[in-house]
Amino acid sequence: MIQFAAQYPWLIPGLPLLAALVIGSLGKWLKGWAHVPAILAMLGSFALSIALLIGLNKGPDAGGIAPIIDFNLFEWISAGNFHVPVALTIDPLTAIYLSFITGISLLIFIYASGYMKGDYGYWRFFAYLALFVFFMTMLVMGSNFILLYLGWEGVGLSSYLLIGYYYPRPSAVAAAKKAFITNRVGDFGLAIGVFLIYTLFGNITYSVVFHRVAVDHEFITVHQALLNWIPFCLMLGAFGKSAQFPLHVWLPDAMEGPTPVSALIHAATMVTAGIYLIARTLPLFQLNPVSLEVVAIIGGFTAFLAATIALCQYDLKRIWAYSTLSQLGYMFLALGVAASTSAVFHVFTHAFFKALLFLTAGSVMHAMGGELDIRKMSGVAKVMPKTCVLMLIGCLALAGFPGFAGFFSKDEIIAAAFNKPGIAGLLLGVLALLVALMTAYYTFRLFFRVFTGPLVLPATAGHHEPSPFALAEDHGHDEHAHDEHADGAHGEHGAAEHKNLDGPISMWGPLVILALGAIGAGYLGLFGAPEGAHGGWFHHFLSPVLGGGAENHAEAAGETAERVSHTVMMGISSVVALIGIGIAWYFHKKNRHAADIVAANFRPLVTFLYNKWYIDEFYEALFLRPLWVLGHLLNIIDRYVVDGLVFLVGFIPQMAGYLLKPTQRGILQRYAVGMIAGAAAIVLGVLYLLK
Amino acid sequence: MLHTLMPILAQVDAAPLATPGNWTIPLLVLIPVIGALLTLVLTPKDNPKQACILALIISLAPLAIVIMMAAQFSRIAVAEGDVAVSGWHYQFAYNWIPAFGIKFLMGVDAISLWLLVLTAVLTPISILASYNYIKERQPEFYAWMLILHAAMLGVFCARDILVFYLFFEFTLIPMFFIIGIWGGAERRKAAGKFFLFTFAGSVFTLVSLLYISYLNFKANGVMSFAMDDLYRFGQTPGAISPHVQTLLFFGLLAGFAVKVPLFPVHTWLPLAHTEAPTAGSVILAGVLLKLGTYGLLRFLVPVLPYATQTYAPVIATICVIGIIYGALVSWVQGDMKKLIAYSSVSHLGFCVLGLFAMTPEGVMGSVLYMINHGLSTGALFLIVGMIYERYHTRDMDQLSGLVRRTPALAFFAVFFVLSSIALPGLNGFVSEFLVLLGTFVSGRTVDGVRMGTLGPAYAIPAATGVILGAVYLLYWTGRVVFGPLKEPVHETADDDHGHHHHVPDLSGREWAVLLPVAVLVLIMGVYPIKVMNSLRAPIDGLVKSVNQPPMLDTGMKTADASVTLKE
Repeated sequence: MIQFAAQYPWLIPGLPLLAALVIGSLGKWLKGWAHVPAILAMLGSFALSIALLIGLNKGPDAGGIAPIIDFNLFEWISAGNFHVPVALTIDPLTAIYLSFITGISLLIFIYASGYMKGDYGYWRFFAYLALFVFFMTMLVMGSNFILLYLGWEGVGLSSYLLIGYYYPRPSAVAAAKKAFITNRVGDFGLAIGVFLIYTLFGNITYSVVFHRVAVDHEFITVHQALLNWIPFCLMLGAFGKSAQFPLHVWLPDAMEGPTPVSALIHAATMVTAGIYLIARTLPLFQLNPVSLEVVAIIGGFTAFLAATIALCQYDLKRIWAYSTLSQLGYMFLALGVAASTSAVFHVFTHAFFKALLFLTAGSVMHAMGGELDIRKMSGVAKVMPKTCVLMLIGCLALAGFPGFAGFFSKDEIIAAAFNKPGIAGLLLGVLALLVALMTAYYTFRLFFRVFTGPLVLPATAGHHEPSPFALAEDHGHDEHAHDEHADGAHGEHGAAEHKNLDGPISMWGPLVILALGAIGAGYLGLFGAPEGAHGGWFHHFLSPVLGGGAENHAEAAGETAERVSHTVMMGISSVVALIGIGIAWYFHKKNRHAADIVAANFRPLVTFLYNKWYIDEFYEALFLRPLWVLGHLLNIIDRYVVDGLVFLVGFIPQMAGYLLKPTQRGILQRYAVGMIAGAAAIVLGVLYLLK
Repeated sequence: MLHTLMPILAQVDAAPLATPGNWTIPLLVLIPVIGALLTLVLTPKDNPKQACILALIISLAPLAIVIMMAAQFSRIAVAEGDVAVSGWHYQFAYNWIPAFGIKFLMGVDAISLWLLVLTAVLTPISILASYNYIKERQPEFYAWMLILHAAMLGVFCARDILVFYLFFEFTLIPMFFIIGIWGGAERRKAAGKFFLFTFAGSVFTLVSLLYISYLNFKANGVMSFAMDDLYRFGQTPGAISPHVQTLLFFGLLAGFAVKVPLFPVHTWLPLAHTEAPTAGSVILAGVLLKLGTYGLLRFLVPVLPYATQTYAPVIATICVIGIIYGALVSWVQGDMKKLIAYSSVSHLGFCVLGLFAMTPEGVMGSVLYMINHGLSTGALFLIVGMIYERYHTRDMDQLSGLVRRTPALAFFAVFFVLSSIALPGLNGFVSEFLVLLGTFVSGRTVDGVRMGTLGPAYAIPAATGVILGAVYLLYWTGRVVFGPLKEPVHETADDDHGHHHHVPDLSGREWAVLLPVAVLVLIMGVYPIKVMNSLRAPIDGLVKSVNQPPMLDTGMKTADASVTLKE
């Protein structure tokens, strides 16, 4: 299996692509079976990815494989010295990404087959999802910057299509557009970065570029000025895709998409592409220490910004969306303080628990008939016991409760921030702890609000959300049915309260596996490394690509007190998590009235946070409106000024044309003669003037 | 799959391509002309729609010939060398007016070949797309389409600058009638403006090229309009003085710039597009605009290399303005056709920018841009035409959520929008990325030769067009394709019984119109390498000849030019 996977690595993106094509072209006939090709393809891709992971872990000496560099498929683009082969690379970093991308996709596909059952666009949904996996795997497998760009824009497209999946809703369409365009701003930076790389290195293949950076010191000295710009350009791309300030505005709106999409694309996989980009191009970032500091500051700030906003949101999915922003901020913070392994580790653990949180939120939403407002539900644990336990596990992992996945990875990041030399390290560390406190609070605010307390369900609970795809002309019929439904609902209401709303096994089954990951994934970073190495298996496995991460860096800086600080940090962050959970418990379980009083006393702040710091409004006023107005202005100018000017300039030859008009009677020869005669006259005129 | 196809194509054995007196090209141009007459004569009076079928069959003949030519080309390992100047194939020569040295010289290289393919593909498609759209005087319409076809094929084959000019100008006449007779309400104004703008510009072009050949005659004593002769003359250092080069540069530019169209001489385009019938818009955007860029590439740049180097920054600035200006104006249009028309202004800015980057990457991007823009924008006009046939409106305020009603049409709409906004994997990306890359690296010194005179200062503002492109096209998609279903009132309920007017999804004919374009869009996005490899030699030759030192202001004697002028 390992050898097979190493011979046909292109099957990993190939199978989902095939599935997308099959579902896309035969979807009408597949109908309710559309998930089958997608799930089968994912099974295949997942098996191959795991085989590669195992193979790489064993190493070539023990029956495994060595990293595959530049597995060439065919040449894509070639102009001048610019050659782009479609070639794949599989090294530990790619293998880690592949394993969780395909694994979590598989689980979410299974979940979605239950969640989306009976939806009008069922097959379309699976075609898009499979297409997404294709682009995402290409993104991490490509062996050059252009394939990265292909995957980069491709996942943006899938994201666009899936956010706008409920296209009859104007809000969904607007959110999709916003996501794509905001990402394009990032892609602009990425493209400029790639141009710079090509200008300097004359090549866009990773292995060539990084080799040059590693060995050619003279080259680096000569081109220092331009090399310094590359990380900033790439960073812009990373911030767009991973929704970091100032390009973070699209992600919360992206929750317009179906919940499995939010879980897969907008939490677990696609949004971590930015971390992949920086981890992959780390040698270029290391050339310019300032760039890493900027990454750290932006990451830390985004973590803080998003956490504060999450404190005051009421929408189940949006709280998780802001939480995702905040956790992504942590990852960038880690990259910035040279703890890149910890960043990827947090990507890995986060994928499990955030997917779990979104999917359980989806189950709740499903059961509540599409209701997401946490003010309208309470005590849901009574009707959804399984979901409650699963979400609790996710919440504990996110809050950094000791022993759960998030605890270990987040702890590493906070420790690395503190260990960064100088005052900046201290500030970033304190910021990271503060964010950890807020995270624990808002996570359990949601949990206690929704699952504990007296049972309150929205009126829509236990019913299907009305399809956004219903047509106006079907409405007469539809409305009638709906009325009956509503009448029944009143009678059933009592029944709904006692019914189990957990949903079918296809929906909670995959969640159990994710929950196991949310509990256990953290231990990969603790155990399994050979004697004497820092960290766990995870760090050891990635060390050929990313170096030893924070530990090595600290060692290089000569800091020996580091170990102690790391252990202490575990204690501190445990306490912080418990305090956060405790506050949430007091305000949202024990004494909910107190929460309202506090909120009322800080009304302006709450409003400010509820409105997301007014950043959307700010962008609207600063960029969107002025451009729109400029467009209209130019349109008017185009119609009256430019057209008029051109007419004036063109006046003379037009006059010449009119003078020659009598010779034009539709007879071709005369027409030609006239043309040449006129031209000759002008030639003479010009010659005369020149003389 | 293409790999397995290649050996089969290789078996199509070819006669040596450079045989003098090869009749392939004259045949190519004559078939549509004869076909036009046949269409007029043979169409039954009681069933004028058959003119479409007839014209379609005739227009498939040039397509077959062009495909054969492409197959032969692909099996020739194009050798390194100065093929841009000497690498003509399927040559045909006829001493037309010996006294003036006007020869009917025709031939193709890879650049013209792929543009021929574009023309030969888009014409049958737009003929087929007109089947229901054209409701009166069908035989005449299709005859004009075929005449136009012949003229366009002729332009791309011409090797004598007067022959080029003849075909170039001749495309105006059929298009004038197509817009003027079968266009919308303001068709006369649109046709007139179209004609006057392009004609006024090209008078300057004609004067300039006559003057160039006159200078050549003065210098060499031989009257010739053959492109090769004029290339050789123009590329001789000191042959034309800087002052005269400047005049000639802007003189030649005038006609081509209007045709492209470059900002600010683009104002004829939106009107012509909105008024033209679908087929007219498709051909206009798909092929006719490319005559301008092709003229720049084929004539202006190689004949005036020094002026090109000097004035590239000026042109590039105009292009960058056009890219941003076109995008912003496109964004605020309410008429779908106008939106796409202005998008052409933006896109063609990229195309010309790449050419004036004068790097292999940029020129490659520019040539591919001509093909790719023809496919994507042509297809978008087809889509708008299909929407118009269903709802009789192009007003974006009246339409929304069409995907719910016509999912297949919506699929193609989104597909071509994505191609147009340069999504990697589809055709637009390859060309747009190369143009920007080529512009970015322009101005570097490679092997002691400075390649181009642009640089990041032009590439970076131009790259904002990538963002703006997504803005206006996704705005259109979001309003018309997605969103809640909204149809013009009289279309949804056309009787009093509450029954709805049936709005059908794509018919078989419409599938046949859109699917081939979609396939080409995909091929050019995923596997453009065969096309790129064949283009490599002519493009390298062109880039090399333009970037030859010395520059305009170094070591050039103005003396001999002033002597020329005094005589």
